[in-house]
Amino acid sequence: MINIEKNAMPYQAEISRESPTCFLFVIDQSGSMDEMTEGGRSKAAFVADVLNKTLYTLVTSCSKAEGVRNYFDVGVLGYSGSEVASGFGGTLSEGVIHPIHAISEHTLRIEERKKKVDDGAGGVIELKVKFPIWFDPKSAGGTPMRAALSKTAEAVAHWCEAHPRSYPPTILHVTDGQSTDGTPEEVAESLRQSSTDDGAALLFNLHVTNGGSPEVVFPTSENDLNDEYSRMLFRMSSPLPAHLAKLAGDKGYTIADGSRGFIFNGDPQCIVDFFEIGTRPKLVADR
Amino acid sequence: MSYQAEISRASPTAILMVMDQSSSMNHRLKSGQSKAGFLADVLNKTLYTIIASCSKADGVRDYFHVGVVAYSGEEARNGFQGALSDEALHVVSRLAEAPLRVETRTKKVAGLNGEAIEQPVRFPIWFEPQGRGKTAMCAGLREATKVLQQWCAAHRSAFPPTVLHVTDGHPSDGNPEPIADRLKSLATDDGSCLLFNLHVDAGEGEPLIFPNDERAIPDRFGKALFRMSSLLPPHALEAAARKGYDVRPGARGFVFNAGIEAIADFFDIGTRPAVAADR
Repeated sequence: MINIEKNAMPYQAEISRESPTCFLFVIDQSGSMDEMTEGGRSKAAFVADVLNKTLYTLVTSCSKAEGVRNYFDVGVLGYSGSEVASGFGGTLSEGVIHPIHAISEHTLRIEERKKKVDDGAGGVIELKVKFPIWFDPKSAGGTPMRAALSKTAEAVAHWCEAHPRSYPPTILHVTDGQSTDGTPEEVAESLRQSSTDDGAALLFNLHVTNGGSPEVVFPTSENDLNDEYSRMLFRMSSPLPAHLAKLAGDKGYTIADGSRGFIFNGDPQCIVDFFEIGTRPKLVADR
Repeated sequence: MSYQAEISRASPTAILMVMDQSSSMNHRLKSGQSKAGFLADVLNKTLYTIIASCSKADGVRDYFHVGVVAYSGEEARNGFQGALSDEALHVVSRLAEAPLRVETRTKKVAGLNGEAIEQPVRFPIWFEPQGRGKTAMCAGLREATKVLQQWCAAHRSAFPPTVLHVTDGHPSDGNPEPIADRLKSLATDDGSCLLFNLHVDAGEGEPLIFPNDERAIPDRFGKALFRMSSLLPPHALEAAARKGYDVRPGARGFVFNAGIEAIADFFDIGTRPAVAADR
């Protein structure tokens, strides 16, 4: 009985230092990622900004008076040409997954960015803010998606084995192109079969393409999608668990039963939301 | 040539804000506070700035007649409360005497190194944030039209009125386009009423600022607001260019998907009709 109850309600595990969860970002760095977005920057640069911001948010959400607590294990894999490599530099480039504490200590550098903020009296002022960088944009060569997801699946399987009671890993995969090393569909499926007692690993896919077609956000069926390639990415995507579906709904997205963690041709805001929704596991216990 | 009339005490101009106070205005901007709260701050600051620009050694000179129309639910009403709620438009000197209250705010200013320095400031409040009910935009624009029709009849040679309309939603009481057309057809000898529209969103993503082509606007209602907006007259084009906006020929007084910066700039640019003559 207890087991049935447990299986009926996956994605409920409390996240604590004893029982952390895992976020893995898999980023397409192929040549086409250098195409410009509306804002006048390359897709690669925009995605890198959002990823760095997301990492920083993960770090701050674990920061307590006594330091950074290891609620999360985090990895970044970049793929391009014939290569799949850690997207981190320095000591973090060895191995794939690192505790958030190690990530907080090993930025590539801290940039100073300008930011407009509300001055509290009906005006807007420009301040300088620190912007930590862990991941630099890159765009060259082909799209070895199959190899990237294989490496991801391997890391996820190991992690699940070592953390059987944890909230399962979440993988955010960002791509703009077609795989150049064969179909990644079965690899994605095996990735999604890795599981902990709390449920199967979650694979969410973000397909950033070039204008033209209307965006499709968290669809329930591949019939909403026009090209074969996005249909495949849809099939590769996990359904949104209830708490993430609610979060997406709160952000104004239309969510239905069976909505998957997939966005096609999202605008920049969609991309930001994708990262935000994808990195919000249910509970952090020992705050 | 329109929009050339000198603004003076003898020949003031009118500035009317039309504010959406529907329930969605309680939603939050990316910067954290409610849309209604930030918009009220910007509007109050704008009123203060207008008063300051009219303040001379001899007191506040009445270069402007200023009013606020608010709409929500099924109706439009005076956006001022208390002593100012009796009339739709007030001379600046009356406005200066009758804020609802003066708050002490903690204002951030940028220090030499771009860090935030906090300082207390006196912040007069004329207009309170509010958000409830539906989006009675037609009622709001109809009320503005009524007020300005009378004003234009009484001020034939004045610089024509400027209307700043702020909304975040779709009208719930019909099609506002014919009413906007009517409003823009009101005129003095110096030109037609100016209607500028600000579409406020959550402040994420890129805003479209003073576009000149409705095809650039992704949303059906946004396109309608574009069509409802006046072409930017020379003084506003200059002010927009000074703020670094790339304004093209045919640019309209319309901002779509505005965040905090675009909101503040919209109010600033929209309330700068030709510099008063007898300063």
